[in-house]
Amino acid sequence: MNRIIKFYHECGSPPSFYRITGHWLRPMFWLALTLSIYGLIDGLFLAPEDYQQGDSYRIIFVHVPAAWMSLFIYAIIGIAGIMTFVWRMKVAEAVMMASVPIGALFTAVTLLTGMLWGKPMWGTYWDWDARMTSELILLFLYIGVFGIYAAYDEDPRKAARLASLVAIIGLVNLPIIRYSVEWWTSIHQGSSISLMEGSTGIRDWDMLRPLLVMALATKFYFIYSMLSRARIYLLRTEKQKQWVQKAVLGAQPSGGAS
Amino acid sequence: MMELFDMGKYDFFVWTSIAVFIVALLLDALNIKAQRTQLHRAIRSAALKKRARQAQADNPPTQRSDDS
Repeated sequence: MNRIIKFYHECGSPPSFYRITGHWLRPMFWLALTLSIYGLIDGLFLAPEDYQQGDSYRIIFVHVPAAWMSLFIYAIIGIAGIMTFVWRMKVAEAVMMASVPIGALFTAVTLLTGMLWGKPMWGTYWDWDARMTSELILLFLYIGVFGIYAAYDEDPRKAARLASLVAIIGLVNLPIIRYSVEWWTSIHQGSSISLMEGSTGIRDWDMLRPLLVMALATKFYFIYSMLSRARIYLLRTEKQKQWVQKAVLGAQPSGGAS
Repeated sequence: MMELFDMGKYDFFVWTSIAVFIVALLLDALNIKAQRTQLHRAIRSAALKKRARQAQADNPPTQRSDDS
């Protein structure tokens, strides 16, 4: 237990966070890449055709992992936002702001692939239905958090605290998205997999496997992307400090792009 | 071979979705790399400038005497 607490405190300090996470980037990236390649090949070529939706259901292998990530990343942003607002932790600020671009990207991918799935199945690219509208609001929330941070350029620490407020308020949207298909009449189908009830929509393991692999791949990619940007954030905001000079110049004394 | 890529009448929708996913993550990875390179370069050049200024302050330039 002591080691976990020690690790938590260590990660709270920007130089230690930078040093520790430096070892994780490469494994996370390669895990994400390998699992994505395997998951896509498995899902697109090996998984059986759906009896109702034919081959169009294969969009699920990118749409659902991206949708899970759009919610998961916003939850991380909300938690980091609370830590930023209450404890004013610099690393939490970095994690919050570093998660925004990749979260917004997954939300946009969810919306676009959902539209591409909707056209052949529902006959329309878009419908102002509860699930779609709340997911679109999630994209606006991501843009809002980023926009507020970017607009207040006098003091990045104050900007991060303001952005964290928007992030915390936006948390209310997560249950709305999750339960939108149950609370309102929706053309969107229900959950494919539930943590409590297991696989409620997909019963075939050959279909479920690529979905789970892609879900893992997107998690690993998120960790890579978020840590990379958090490290950049810390370097940028602590430029004048000694540890930044050491970390950058010490790593590559002779120059050259990394 | 083409049979493998055949998604029935859903070719356009399936392959465009996969392309959207791949392009989005590729752009993200490239953006990270570009930001990192730019920032490292800026920090390195600031450090070099600082070092040059310090060296100049430690050894102020003396009068040139090579035209004598």
